[in-house]
Amino acid sequence: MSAGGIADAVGAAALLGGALLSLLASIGLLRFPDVLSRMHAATKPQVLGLLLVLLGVGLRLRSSIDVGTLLVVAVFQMLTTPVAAHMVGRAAYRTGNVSGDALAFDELTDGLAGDGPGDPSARMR
Amino acid sequence: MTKPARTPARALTEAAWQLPLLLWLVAVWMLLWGTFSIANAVNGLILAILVTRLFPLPPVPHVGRLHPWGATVLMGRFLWDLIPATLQVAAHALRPGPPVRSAVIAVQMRSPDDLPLTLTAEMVSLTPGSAIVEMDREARVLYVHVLGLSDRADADAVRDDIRALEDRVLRAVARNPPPRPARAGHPPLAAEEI
Repeated sequence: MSAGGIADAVGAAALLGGALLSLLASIGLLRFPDVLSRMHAATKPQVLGLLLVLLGVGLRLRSSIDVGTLLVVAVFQMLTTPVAAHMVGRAAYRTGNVSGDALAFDELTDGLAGDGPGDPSARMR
Repeated sequence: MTKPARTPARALTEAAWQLPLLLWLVAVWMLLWGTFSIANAVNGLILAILVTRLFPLPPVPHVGRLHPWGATVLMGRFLWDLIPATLQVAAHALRPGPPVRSAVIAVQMRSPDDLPLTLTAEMVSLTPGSAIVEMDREARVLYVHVLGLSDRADADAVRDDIRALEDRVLRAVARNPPPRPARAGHPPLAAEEI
């Protein structure tokens, strides 16, 4: 098999893997109980999933300028996803949409209450 | 944190930290156009200078130094750790039975600087199964939502993972990175130590 053929095959596998991870993300989105857990499903498999899709596309296109553009997509996605996730999480938390049922324990509420032990080392300062 | 005196050496250091930003903006500009040419580079440079002058970013206090090997280890380990973390979230999504439970844990960071704190928080949020819901910048505490964590006994292992990540970040960008074996108990470092 030629080098191009191998790259095509690996690229196809990477595309399939990325698509599979996106499918798993949507299943998680349906099955997880609360906002914060769903946020994991909505934002996270995309990190590896998107990287795999981009890798797959890059291996199929194989031109340096396209690969560069794909790199820019990857970098911006990696820079912005945590910010979006953080804002969703923070908003969910502050509007009381974090149910006590889905959370086994919560050291942030403990910490905000001011009397909970929280993480002992978190109180060192 | 007191503001460091603005000596010529410090101004030069800050300019040196601006340079990669300029180069990065020029590179993005050329990649978006899809052609590498002198005209594109010049236009990109003009735009980059304009953008950084018009919308200046707040200076990052206590800028460190980039350690190439530390940065390589940090990125390599991060990409490697994505695989098990992704599989774990996928397993939680597929596992039959009652809905998965999670927890919010407090993690004390060691570094007093903003840059390592930000990088660590970014990477924690990028890793499937963990996300920052809140952070206390003064006390350097991250509040991390961990999917599938339901036992307080397991929380310390997650805390140790995040502190190990912070150590790798420090070895990548701190001025004086901590020695390889992490110190027991992870005492917060004073500003002079980093």
